[in-house]
Amino acid sequence: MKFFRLLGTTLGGLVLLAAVLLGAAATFGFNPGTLHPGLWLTGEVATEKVTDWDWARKARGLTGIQTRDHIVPFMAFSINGSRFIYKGKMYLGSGYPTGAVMPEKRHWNKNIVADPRVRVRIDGKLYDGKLTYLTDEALHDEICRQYGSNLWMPGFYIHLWEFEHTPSES
Amino acid sequence: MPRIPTAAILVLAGIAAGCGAEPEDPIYADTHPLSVPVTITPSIQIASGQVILYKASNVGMGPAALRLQVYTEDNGIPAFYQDFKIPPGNTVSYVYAPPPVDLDLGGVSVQAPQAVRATFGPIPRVDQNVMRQVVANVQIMRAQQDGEGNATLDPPIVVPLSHCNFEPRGTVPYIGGTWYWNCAPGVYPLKPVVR
Repeated sequence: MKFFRLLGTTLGGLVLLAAVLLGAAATFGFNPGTLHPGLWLTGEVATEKVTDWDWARKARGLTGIQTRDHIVPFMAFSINGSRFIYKGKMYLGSGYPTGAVMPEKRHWNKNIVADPRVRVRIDGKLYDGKLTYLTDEALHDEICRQYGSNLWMPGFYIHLWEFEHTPSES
Repeated sequence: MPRIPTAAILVLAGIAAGCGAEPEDPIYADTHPLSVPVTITPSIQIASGQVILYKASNVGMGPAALRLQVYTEDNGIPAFYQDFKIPPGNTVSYVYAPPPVDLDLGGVSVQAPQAVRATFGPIPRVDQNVMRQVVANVQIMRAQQDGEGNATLDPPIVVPLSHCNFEPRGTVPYIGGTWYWNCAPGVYPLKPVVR
């Protein structure tokens, strides 16, 4: 009896602790680092629609990408990724070595395949929008040509998604 | 009473660690599955009137999907690439005549075809091991016409090729590993990563 009481208290405590931690993360944000993923991104939400992303070439830092978890839908899952600016449009990329098939091994890729709505963080500002997978191989090559030889290593392929800012849907 | 929060934290940490840990991943467990064998040419300077003939033979039992990437000397991004689907037992050929550029040879400037190097490797997202079933060959060719309009072929000049492994180690951009070339796998064989 004592054991079950202890078990119940422990589980209850865990649930409570998890709820408190998640609530804190949702309220105050939990940004990803270079080596660990995060939850909700922090920053000021941009309300004016951005159609030309050329300025983002010179913006500081990586691109925070907050996705909707495909396993627990109310949860956010974020990572720091790379942005590619080409002809005023912004693309988000996820590189795969040979032998790995998208979205294998990438939780955030699985999330955007299930739900393309994302929140992007650039230089401390947040942009809500949706991603569209780039299927045009010629355009894909053009973009990759702008971003160096790393993207042309044997067997390496970077999957790209075009980001469309949709502030009204945030 | 302090036992309960301690136990809760330990259990929570255990669950978090258990949920976060990736199962033994065959892709990341060792670098072998990520190694990409490629065949590469040195930079070839041909003379005017010559062309480069690239040939690839599929000696395997199944089809082979192959990418030929051609580079100039001043850029790590290929000038162009050509994809091939080679049925088993077949050979494909590709003739390339580099555009003329100014070539400085010890103070003498001449117009000559641009020097290029090339890699025979996999088409991304297809089969990284394709070069295990392909024999590549590169030759410098020249066809000459006599006064009566008959074309004759000069003896080809065979270009020596290198067989390299493209091996990831450490931190890859966007993935978490570092790429490096190993163009002497016989001398410097791939060793398992020490973890």
